[in-house]
Amino acid sequence: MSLFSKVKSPAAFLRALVKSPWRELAQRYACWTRVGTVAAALALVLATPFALRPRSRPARVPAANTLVILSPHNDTIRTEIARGFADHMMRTAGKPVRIDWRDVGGTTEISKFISSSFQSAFQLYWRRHLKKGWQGRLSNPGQSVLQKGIPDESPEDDTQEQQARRTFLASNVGIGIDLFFGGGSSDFIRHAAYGHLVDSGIFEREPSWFSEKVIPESFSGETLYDPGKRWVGSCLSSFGICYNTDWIKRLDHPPPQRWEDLGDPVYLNALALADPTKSGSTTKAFEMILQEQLSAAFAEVDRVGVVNVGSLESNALDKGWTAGLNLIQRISANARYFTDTAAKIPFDVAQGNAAAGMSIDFYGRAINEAVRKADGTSRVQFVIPVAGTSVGADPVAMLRGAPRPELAQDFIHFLLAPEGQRLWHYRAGVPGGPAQSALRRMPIRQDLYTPEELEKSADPELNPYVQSRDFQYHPEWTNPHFNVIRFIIQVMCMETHEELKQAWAALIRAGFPPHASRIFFDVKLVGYTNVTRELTPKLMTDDPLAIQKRRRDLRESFRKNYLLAIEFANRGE
Amino acid sequence: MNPVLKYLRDVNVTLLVFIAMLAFFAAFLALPILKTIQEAFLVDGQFTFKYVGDVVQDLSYAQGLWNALLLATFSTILAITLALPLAVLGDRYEFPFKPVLTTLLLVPLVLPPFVGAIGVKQILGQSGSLNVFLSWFGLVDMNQPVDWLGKWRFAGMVLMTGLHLYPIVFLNVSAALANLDPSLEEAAENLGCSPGKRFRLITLPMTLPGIFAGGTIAFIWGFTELGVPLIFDFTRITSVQIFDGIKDLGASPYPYALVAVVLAITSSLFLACKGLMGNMDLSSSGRTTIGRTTKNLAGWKKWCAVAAFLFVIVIALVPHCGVILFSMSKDWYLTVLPESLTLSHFEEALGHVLTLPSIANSLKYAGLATILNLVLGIAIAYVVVRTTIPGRHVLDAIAMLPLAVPGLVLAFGYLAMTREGEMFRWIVDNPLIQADNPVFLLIIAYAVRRLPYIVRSAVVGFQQTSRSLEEAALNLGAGPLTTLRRITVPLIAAHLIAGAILAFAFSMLEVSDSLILAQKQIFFPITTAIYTLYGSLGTGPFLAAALGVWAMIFLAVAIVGAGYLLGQKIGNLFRL
Repeated sequence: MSLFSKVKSPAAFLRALVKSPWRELAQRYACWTRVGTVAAALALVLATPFALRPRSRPARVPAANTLVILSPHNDTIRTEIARGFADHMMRTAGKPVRIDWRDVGGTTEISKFISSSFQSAFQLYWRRHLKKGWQGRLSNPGQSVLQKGIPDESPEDDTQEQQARRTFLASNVGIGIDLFFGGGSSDFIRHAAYGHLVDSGIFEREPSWFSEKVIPESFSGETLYDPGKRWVGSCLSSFGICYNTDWIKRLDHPPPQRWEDLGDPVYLNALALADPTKSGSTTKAFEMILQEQLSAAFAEVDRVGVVNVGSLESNALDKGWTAGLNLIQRISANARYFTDTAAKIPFDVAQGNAAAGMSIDFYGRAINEAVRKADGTSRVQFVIPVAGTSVGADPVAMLRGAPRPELAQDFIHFLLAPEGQRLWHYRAGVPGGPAQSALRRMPIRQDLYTPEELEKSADPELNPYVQSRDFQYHPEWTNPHFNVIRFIIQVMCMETHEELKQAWAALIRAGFPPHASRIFFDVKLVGYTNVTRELTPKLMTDDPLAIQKRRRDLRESFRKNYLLAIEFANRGE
Repeated sequence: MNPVLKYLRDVNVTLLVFIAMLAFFAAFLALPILKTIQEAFLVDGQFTFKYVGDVVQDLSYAQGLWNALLLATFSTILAITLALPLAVLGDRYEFPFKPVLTTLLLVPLVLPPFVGAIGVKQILGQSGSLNVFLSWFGLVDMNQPVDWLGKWRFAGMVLMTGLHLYPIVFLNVSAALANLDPSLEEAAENLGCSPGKRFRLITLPMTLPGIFAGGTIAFIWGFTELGVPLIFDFTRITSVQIFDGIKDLGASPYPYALVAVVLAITSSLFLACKGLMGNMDLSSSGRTTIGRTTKNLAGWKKWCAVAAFLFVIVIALVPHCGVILFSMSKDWYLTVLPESLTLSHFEEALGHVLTLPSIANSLKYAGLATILNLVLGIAIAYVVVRTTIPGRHVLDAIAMLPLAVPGLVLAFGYLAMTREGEMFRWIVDNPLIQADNPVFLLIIAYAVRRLPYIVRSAVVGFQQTSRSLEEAALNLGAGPLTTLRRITVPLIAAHLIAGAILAFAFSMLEVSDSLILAQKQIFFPITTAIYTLYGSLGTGPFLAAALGVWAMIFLAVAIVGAGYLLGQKIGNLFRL
């Protein structure tokens, strides 16, 4: 009322409008307007994902048709494989299936998770089901096999551990998960040895698949399926070098083509490396660096001519091994970091945080495509190092006590059949290929590398069975020392990384004076003779305290060497 | 009288609370830690200190510990140096945009996991914005860009940790300042005390509990900080050594022994500091009865205040700006700002199957954890400050330990203690939920991890409020619970809110527990969803950044909203 009685001019009306009664009202309900404002703001933020949520709700699938898979595979792979498998089952068996992907982080977390889950599941089985007692701490029936030995033929004289182990291997103790899918074959080899993995029956169902023509048992020295039938590779992967073309241009240096190029001082503080202590496939890549140098040393011996076979061979082994370790030293000294996140390296290279790095093939190729410009050029290139790589299998396996063994076998069957294999390498949208994005991985079946198949591949020029054939992998040189390689890199490069980098920089500054270089590259303590005689056998049998002491002693002597090298380099000696 | 009631009245309620709290920590802190680190103390089933002894003698580990101590010390000093003057400015004076500025000061707290490092590298990396920007003025040659993250690593780590932690100190100090009785300062002023001397002799000592509370959290956080050293690729520091060791394929007992050493150092440092602080009775005779007035800063001075706030905010928000810009960029490389912006990453990330359920889960877990935390925090602070039970300081120290325990250790411990056949199986398998639903476990895990924030805030609250008001209520016939509800809690509400904001925000961003405990997709909280998106081929980092930015916006709105609701502006939040 008061508002209208005072109207004399439009301006006055506006003034009055602003003045009363709204203001009064606003003040009276100030508290509620505040609540309203905050609630509206929060609702707005929450509404965005609500508005954008996927429209199609997944169909309800009974638990019996839900396959539980523990996997470190990325979301892209999971989505495509799950869709492919569901379509396949609907078409062939007429039943809806769903995959319940479980994830506990990376491969190491998954490994720990499997081991500890089996341990407690077995303890429960032992105490509740078998109603047996135990003296001391009930050990893990899986892992204890490596320490206490496999039970012998006669069950009568079993120790407590052997009895547990025998019981475990005969049991169907499970952890509620059907399959373990993805990761390096070394994890699968380990869990198979523990008894956590079992034969899924796929080898009996499709014996013709496991032949030289389709899936060979091994290729370029790498095992592609378990001779004990407990795991089988589903695709192949390899390590390569990815590099940033702008950075390489800036360095005024030819792009890296082989591992050796990465040891060049121009890459000081510019490399991104993967951490061999966290994954078997990374250790494999470092093993390849050694293999390449060993091959070179043997070629050198061959060139000089054979005088006394025995001594020459050990000579070549010593030389090649030392050259390989020195190369690993140089590459590590150039490194900014060692990471266990596979996707981090190509990404850092793409964003110009590193000049080059070690990368798993499909991550490298995916980033190359992701930053490709309209004119077809890309600032990230991925190369498979010349004569320095082998391919490894990325396996799938059924876990002991899988709740849905038939469905699990169906999944493995689908994955290894041409239909499932095509998902790995076909371009997105091609009939029979992935629906949304290409996975850029290499199928394990050789019969998928025919010209007709490769035509639809996202990487048509890629055929590991041809490209890696020439690479002669000599498992006898390095394979027995696989764990020792990891151990050496740890003490020689990772735990002493600060001193290593400083010494390397000092050497470069001083122009590699001879005395300092000799100290820096002195790896006699972990030379081939020492490794075969001392380290490899001792690391298998020593207790953790002794291993730790060895590790500390070696690390300290490397650290001392590096510090000494800095001192000499600074004096120019 | 009913004998049961009589008995209940006679037993010491506080003693019961004390025992209940100890039992809680025994079950949900000590047990999971022991479950995980027992390997560090067992050789062939025999108890041993050998591994711990080895760790202490090892030069590498010793250097790691030393670096961790240095990082903690310097970043705490930095955090206090930044937060204290700003808190005093905000408490005493009026200047333009004060409500906005004091609120923005808290926003650096919320940096989403996994993608924070990307934000930093986009700006400070060798091909990052800063170098390109400086090259415009000829200060940097892009053929030899400056390696900001590699060159001044330690200083950079201190700077980044300090800038991440100062809001914690700011919140605690602001709460303490707001609870100061102005009459003391006025008395000093009337007696001719100069402002500088007044600050030194009255204000600072009276605010010490707040500085101590914020400082200890910052110190322990800095001591065990993992993310920042990883951004700078700094490996010779305890947190990284533990993290690397736990993830090592070799399964060595040493990382666990190192955890034990860290826990021992943290708790003894905490108790030592507490001893140094003494048993201060900082409560004034009555609670603030005189309303405090803030002074208007005149002329250039007020703009100086604004500039001081802006300076800290801008530097602290560098990583956040990096993440935000990155999430909206098609590609961002060798340019100051992304060349072209897009919202498609948001569309894809927010529209992902996982996203909406994960948001709902996170709100549920973090919200309930915060409520549980409030109950626990009040109970613990009450025992610590208001009682004379011997061992209450130990309880206080224990309540701080979750800050120092690596996330992975607790997470694996929780997993182990809730397996089938274990004593705490009922947490994941009870009539309220379907089997293997980790909802209660996650709530407890989040609550334990974030408890220190609320305990510290509540302890300061109790220290600063006089007991006489509670005694008056009790004398007038109110029961202990009524007193707590009607007198104590309202009086310390500012402190509780400050602590609750921290607890909630950090629960939403919790990583280790989320990854390890919420294995099924239907239970994924938002951090796990970010992690999953991160792994998408090609666009992963962009999608993860987009969801991370969403979480950041949500938490920022929640923090600002809480301040706005409770006191119109967060600066006044602490003045009741």
